[in-house]
Amino acid sequence: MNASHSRIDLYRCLIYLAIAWATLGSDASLAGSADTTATNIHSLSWEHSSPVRLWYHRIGDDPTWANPQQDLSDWEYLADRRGGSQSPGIQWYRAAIRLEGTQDEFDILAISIGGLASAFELYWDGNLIGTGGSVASSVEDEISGPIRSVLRIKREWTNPGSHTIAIRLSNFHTSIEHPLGSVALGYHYKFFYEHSYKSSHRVFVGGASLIAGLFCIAMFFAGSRHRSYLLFALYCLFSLFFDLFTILNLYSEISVQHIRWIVPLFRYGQIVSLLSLVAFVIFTYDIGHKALVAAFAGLFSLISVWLSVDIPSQSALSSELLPVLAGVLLLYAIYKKTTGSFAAFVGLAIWRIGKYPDLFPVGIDYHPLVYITSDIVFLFCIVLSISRRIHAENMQLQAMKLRSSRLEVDLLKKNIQPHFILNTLQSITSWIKKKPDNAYLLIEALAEEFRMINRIADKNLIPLHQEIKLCRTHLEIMGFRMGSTYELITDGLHEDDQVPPMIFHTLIENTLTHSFKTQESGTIRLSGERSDQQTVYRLSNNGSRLAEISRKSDDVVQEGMGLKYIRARLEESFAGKWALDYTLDNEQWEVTIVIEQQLPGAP
Amino acid sequence: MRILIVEDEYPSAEFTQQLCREILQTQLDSIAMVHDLTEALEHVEKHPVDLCLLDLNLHGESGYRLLQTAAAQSFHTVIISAYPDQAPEAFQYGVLDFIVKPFGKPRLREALARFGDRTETREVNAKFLSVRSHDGYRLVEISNIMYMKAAGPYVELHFMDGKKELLLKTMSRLEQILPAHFIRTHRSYFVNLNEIESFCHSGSGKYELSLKDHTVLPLSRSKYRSLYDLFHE
Repeated sequence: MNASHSRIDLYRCLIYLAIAWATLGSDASLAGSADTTATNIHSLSWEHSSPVRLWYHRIGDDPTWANPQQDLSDWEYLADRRGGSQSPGIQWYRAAIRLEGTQDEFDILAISIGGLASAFELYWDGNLIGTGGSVASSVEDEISGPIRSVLRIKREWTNPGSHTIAIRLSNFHTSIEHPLGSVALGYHYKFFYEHSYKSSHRVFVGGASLIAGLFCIAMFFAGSRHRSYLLFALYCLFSLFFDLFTILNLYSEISVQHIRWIVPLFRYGQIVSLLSLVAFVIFTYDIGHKALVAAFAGLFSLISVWLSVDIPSQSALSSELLPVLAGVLLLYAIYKKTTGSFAAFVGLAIWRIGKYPDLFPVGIDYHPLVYITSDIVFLFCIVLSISRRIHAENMQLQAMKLRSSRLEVDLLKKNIQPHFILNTLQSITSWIKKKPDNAYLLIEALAEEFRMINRIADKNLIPLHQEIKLCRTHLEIMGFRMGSTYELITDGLHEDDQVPPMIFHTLIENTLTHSFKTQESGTIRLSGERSDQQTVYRLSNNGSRLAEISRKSDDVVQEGMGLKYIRARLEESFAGKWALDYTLDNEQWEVTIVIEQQLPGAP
Repeated sequence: MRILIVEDEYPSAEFTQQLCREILQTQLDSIAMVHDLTEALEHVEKHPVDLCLLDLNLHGESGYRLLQTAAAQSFHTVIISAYPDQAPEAFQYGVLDFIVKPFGKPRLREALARFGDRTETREVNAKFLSVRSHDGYRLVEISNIMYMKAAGPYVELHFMDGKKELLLKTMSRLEQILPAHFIRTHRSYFVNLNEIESFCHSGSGKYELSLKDHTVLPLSRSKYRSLYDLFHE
């Protein structure tokens, strides 16, 4: 189990390649069944092809070594293909096969060879049944063959009984040293069946990757412009490329000598694709300490490269380092309650576990199913996570718009409140009786205030001079209503400052309600003080009533709707960068609004 | 009639005052304007008042508090307000009328007419009475009262649970705001109809009325007749 497992790991870099073949049947029932006789037993069944595991190996070259009667005492026995690395140069492998059962009438047996040396000749009972490239004693003469081939054996040669496989190979063109690749025996049709089975699962996963990648690209262009979604798209396109390449390889014979560039391509491609995944996690789930995390990602990639190049036996570790980093980052995001992080983490975990189908109690035939399922679950989880984030963003945006429109309604309601209108109408009625000219003036002022409010209702910020004009109009109206005169004195204000609409208006409204006695004329002072960091506005009045009352009771200062409105408006325009305070100083009420940020139009 | 106007908007107060003068003419004994409730209370300490025209929103003070304070006074109250939705509550406190701003002479005349009219059946009756307590004003539910007894300028409220409260209102003013199941059984008594156990002629031209808790109250002869009719219908 371990041996075959490490073999899978060893070929990790080729996992998308023909070695998908090689995993086939590696754990089949034949393992260990012929340790003393050194005979591979193959039962002729429709169900299985079986790997040839027990080999003899000999360096050198002699045409008679193909002969079934060859004495094997000088040969090195390789149980279960352990050891026996293929160095460049001509060498031979031999295996004894026992065919049991009855050969089917309508099909013929074949030998599949994958991950072999660069050139080989294959003999069945001493008869040459196929070659890959051209075996030669020097690198110049050798012509490299395909990575994988299927060679048919004549029907009359495959009667039940003992047979011999002999392989003559030279190994000049492969850049890497590796033991004898996968050799398997089975019905010819079976290999092609498996062939299409594998490519179909690649097509399936590749299609899912393509759709997920396109979804991410679409999400990027659809408006939110999250560059991090492109990183996941990049990852998906990498996966798609690997899948397509694997399919291509299944249907066209790629020469062994291309392994030279295919292997690095896959090795570094994998790491880059995993890096893009880690980057996706960092940027999508708002992981802080980006420099530190990036340094870790870089370090892990280097370790992965080093492990996969220099210590092939640690290739599981090398391919898991970056996913583990992504997992840790996602755990951190879950801890910080980042939207969508949980779905992403679950997806990542299932995906990585799915890479080790041995962990599941399923037969080898179902391993591709495990790969497919885990890949699809992973893609689904990430897409789900992204969708949840987009949904959350939309909700936030909507809430913001709603808040803004609610404030607009508040603004309109505040001054088109029935009691304001009705009281003012009562005043008009009174003035008509006493002094009609004043009634006209009051009507004009009221109309002017409504016009101004209507103009600013949908604005988040208005120039200060507009606000001041509004305040003065309101004071005129209230003067008529209360039978007194109110004056607004401004001091140190920059009239082009942008302020939320009706905040000073609201403060003045409160002032008039509480501060002045009936018929008491008053002065309201609005002053501004601007420094580099902030603008401070102070509003005070000389009214006698509030000071008097505040000496008697303390329930006057309860925050009314007006102050809530002002706070909401300030928060909307200067989130977190404002302060509102009110104090009773020298028996005068003073409201202070500090806006920290430099206002637009400031020098 | 002695009128007090409580209104914080001076021109409006002046206007109301002018209208009152025009409507009542010689019936008007005195009229005064004040601009908040404290002033109003100070005023009633010194000057007797029959009717108060009260704006329910003075300098941002809560209408509820004003209402409670006004309802506990001996005078009748007519509310003048820009908030029509305060009307149902105001009637529960036993105000005589509720005028919605803006208003003119006809509406004010109608309200002032109510002051003298004792036969009018009102659609909304008081549910609460506001009584003074050591720390301000307290509402009591009229439905918990068994009977009321005149006591000088006050009225004694006798509750079903045996408690008593003093209310600063005259019998005649109270009569105008009490719900229909309180009937005047005597010059000095209002009784809750639901609490009457029996009534009889006790000899020598005197009549008596027993309540469910066996309290015996005097009953005037004219009221005996109407009670008799009521119970034998």
